Amino acid sequence: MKEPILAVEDLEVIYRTERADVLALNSVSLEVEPGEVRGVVGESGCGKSTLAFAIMKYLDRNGEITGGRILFNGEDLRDKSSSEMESIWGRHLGMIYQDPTASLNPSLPVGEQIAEVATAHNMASKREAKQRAVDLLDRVHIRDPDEIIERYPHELSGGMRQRVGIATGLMGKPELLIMDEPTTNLDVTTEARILDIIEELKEDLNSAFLYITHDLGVIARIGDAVEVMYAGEIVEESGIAELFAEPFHPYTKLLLRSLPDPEEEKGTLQDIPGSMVDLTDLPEGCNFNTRCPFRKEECFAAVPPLEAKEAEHKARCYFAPIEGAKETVGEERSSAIEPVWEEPPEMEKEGPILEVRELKKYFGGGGSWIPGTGGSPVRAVDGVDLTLEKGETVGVVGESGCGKTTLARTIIGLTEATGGTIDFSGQDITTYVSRRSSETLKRIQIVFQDPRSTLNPKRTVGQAIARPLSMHGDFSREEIPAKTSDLLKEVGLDPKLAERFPDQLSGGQKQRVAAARAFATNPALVLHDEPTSSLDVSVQATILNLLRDLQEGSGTSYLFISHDLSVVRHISDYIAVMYLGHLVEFGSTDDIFSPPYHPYTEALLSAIPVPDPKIQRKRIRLHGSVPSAVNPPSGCVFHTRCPRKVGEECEREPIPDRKTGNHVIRCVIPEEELKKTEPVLS
Amino acid sequence: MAKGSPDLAPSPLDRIKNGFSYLSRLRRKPLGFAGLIIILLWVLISIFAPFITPYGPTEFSTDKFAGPSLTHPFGTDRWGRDVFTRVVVGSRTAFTLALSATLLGLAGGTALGLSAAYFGGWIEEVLGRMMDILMSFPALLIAMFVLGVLGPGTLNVILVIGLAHTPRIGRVARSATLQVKNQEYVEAARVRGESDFYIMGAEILPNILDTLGVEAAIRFAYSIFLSASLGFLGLGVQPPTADWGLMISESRSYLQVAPWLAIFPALAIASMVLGANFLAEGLEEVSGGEQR
Repeated sequence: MKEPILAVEDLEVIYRTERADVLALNSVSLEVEPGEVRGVVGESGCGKSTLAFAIMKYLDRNGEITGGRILFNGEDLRDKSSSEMESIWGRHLGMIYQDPTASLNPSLPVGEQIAEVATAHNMASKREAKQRAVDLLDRVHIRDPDEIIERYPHELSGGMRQRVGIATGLMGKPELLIMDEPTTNLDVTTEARILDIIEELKEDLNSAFLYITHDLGVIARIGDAVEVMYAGEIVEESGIAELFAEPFHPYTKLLLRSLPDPEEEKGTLQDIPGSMVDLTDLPEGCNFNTRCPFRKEECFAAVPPLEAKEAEHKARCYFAPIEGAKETVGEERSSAIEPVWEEPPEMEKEGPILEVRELKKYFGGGGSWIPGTGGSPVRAVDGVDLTLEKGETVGVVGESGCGKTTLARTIIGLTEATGGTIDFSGQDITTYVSRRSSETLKRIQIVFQDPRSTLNPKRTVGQAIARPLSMHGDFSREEIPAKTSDLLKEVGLDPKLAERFPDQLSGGQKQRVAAARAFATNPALVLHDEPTSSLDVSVQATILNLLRDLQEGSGTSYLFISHDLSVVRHISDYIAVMYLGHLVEFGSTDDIFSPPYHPYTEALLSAIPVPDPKIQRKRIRLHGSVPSAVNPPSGCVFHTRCPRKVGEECEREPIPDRKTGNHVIRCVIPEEELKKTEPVLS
Repeated sequence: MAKGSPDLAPSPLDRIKNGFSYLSRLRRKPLGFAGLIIILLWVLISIFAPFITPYGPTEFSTDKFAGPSLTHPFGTDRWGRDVFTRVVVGSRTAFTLALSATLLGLAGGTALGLSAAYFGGWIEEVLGRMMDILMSFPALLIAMFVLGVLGPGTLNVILVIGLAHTPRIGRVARSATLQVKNQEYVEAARVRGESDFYIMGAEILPNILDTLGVEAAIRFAYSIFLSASLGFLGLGVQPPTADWGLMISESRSYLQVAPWLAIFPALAIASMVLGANFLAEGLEEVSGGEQR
């Protein structure tokens, strides 16, 4: 066994807040060896970022290391003064942050910032440092590094900035590089490229990496060993293969089960009951005993130790490994729930609920009355056709900037369409929301993305739900409180929460209230704009299940927008793949996930991190960044990045639609050839 | 619009409780808390003015230019009026003027700023330019000009100070609205089919009140100052009303012989202005901390 570069022993961190002292890390121990990527996984609030900042000795002012040792190269970092730490940061101990925008200085060219690491530590002259910066940018696969070093951070895309961040981290040739969710803010295709780079670096350099993430798929892809954290403690420690083959701790087991698996079809997800414990109010005994389906009496007596259950596989559980790893755990879910409304929704006219034809939404351009300031518009949505039948779900996937949110906002009427039509159960509703009939308003609802801003902070949960009831329902004043309670029960919340204000709720609870608010008017169509993307995976699973149950009970149609193909697969009957304002593929969920694929869909699928380290998939990587929607490429909009570009015919209109039944692929490549594609997911 | 009932509003008791918990958080901000105490003291003084003043505010006596003593704690003026009584009663004038003017400016500024930001487009342009024009003149200059035309008097002073506050409060209301108006709960209200009036009043306004409260405290302090200045210039409240600005103005000729005539009203003005400013600072910290 190699000598570890970092050995954390019984680390304890306390945050002092006005209310109470919060024990953020409780006797955390771990070791990182040279040449290994050690993952730290957990949901928000588990202490994983605190761990990173504690090792860097860069905690917030109210955070304090109250116990344990941080042995780095055999020396305890706790004994180091802040000036001593300054000579360690960057040179021996590097860190890469989640948000590269915040860690780069906006007023300096990126090359100077990378070079600064070396010059500040007197490792190199200015000229050598600059040359090294160019080499490093080349290393992280940035094209034309000589030119890029002269650019300012705002001139680079998110993926490029994160690569610059990694180059900065590598500049000092640190023995240990801590990465705090470096790919969380990036699109999947960009994430896949960054993970490739990290994998390469791991093989070439002998550096050690501490990789912090909430995403088990990412860690399966690049980790060698992993620590699973819950409520400030390490609950499981294991090699990657062992962990994913058989998780020992109940939390890990449930966490893995709650992930929407891109290889699995529409169905109910396993969720973790309850929510993350309050760190100021930890339970007696095992921290996980409030949510654990396997709990026994012993679990309430004392905190179980982190014990080696197998050679290199430790778990903090008396009963680990728990038998029946792959079986369904937890209590039986109640099936379809009773609808709140006495009468079923009146029958819509036959035919589709929603029919979108040639929908276009351009922003800006040409509108200014000062000549010469108009310019070309941003073509956010550029000719989209979409049909949605009653009771069905159509998922819309695509990366940031593809126009999927604009599509939803145009359909709901928050922005006015530039061209095309939107028909809602046979009626033309192509107009701004304030000009729609009250009946239409009542029948189309939306659930937004951000739980922090979806509810008015100054109104109670009850008020938020009662308002649509009193506006659109035929309920008397006396009936409304009862209806509000019914709706809260419907979305799995205690009716007592009606008195609470949003800041007293968790993110998952807020999204439940948002769902209750949307369902209050008994809608025929609900648009979902990334409703789970800012939630933890275990909470995401409960929300996705809730949305499915609500749909079964009410027969409502969904338009479900997400960047996450695995999520979309779990909830959708049909999937539309969007790129730069255009639909490039539409088909049933099975059609999308098996060949023939549109080359873009193929690339998206191959980029999803799958929580199974054994799976070796095709790697299709997209180069360059998404072209500007002000001046989109001619012909097929994807031709500038397409790995399967045929030739000039890709750059000319029209691009043919390759149709088989309901499955449409807009591509120059003939159907026969598309069908020969190997499946990305086995 | 709404066919059925209004929403389940929190009871008035809840609102009062919330208000108190908001103020009680001020206790941890020493400066803001001091400001609160000073203002509360002045409120008590003006409410109980008739009980703590030994004389009438316009009661003459033969004891002219008497220095501070046990019978006249702040001395007397050239008519033999008790300065202590006049300072105490003057706090009522000050509160009347400053509170009404602040409320007026708050109402006008909020209406203009909120609708400018909410509607955007040419409405915002027009309202914005109007506010810019109003703001490019010093408040005192506008006040002197308008009062010169309308003539002095309590009501006119209130109107003029309120008018001077409007663009400044309007600007604050506008920027606060811009931060709120694209929040998802506002969009949810639009999708529900709420009227613009409802969205502005019920969804946006409650969420900018904290910011407006801070601004109101600053404007209140400024109102005291401005009304005193106008009183000093003879454009404000007219004699024989007890008004601090007026009192200082009347004392000018006797500063050598009877400095107490100027000192005590000046101290009163200073303490009220400082108190309001401290309070504003405290409120800002408290509401800023709330957003984390």
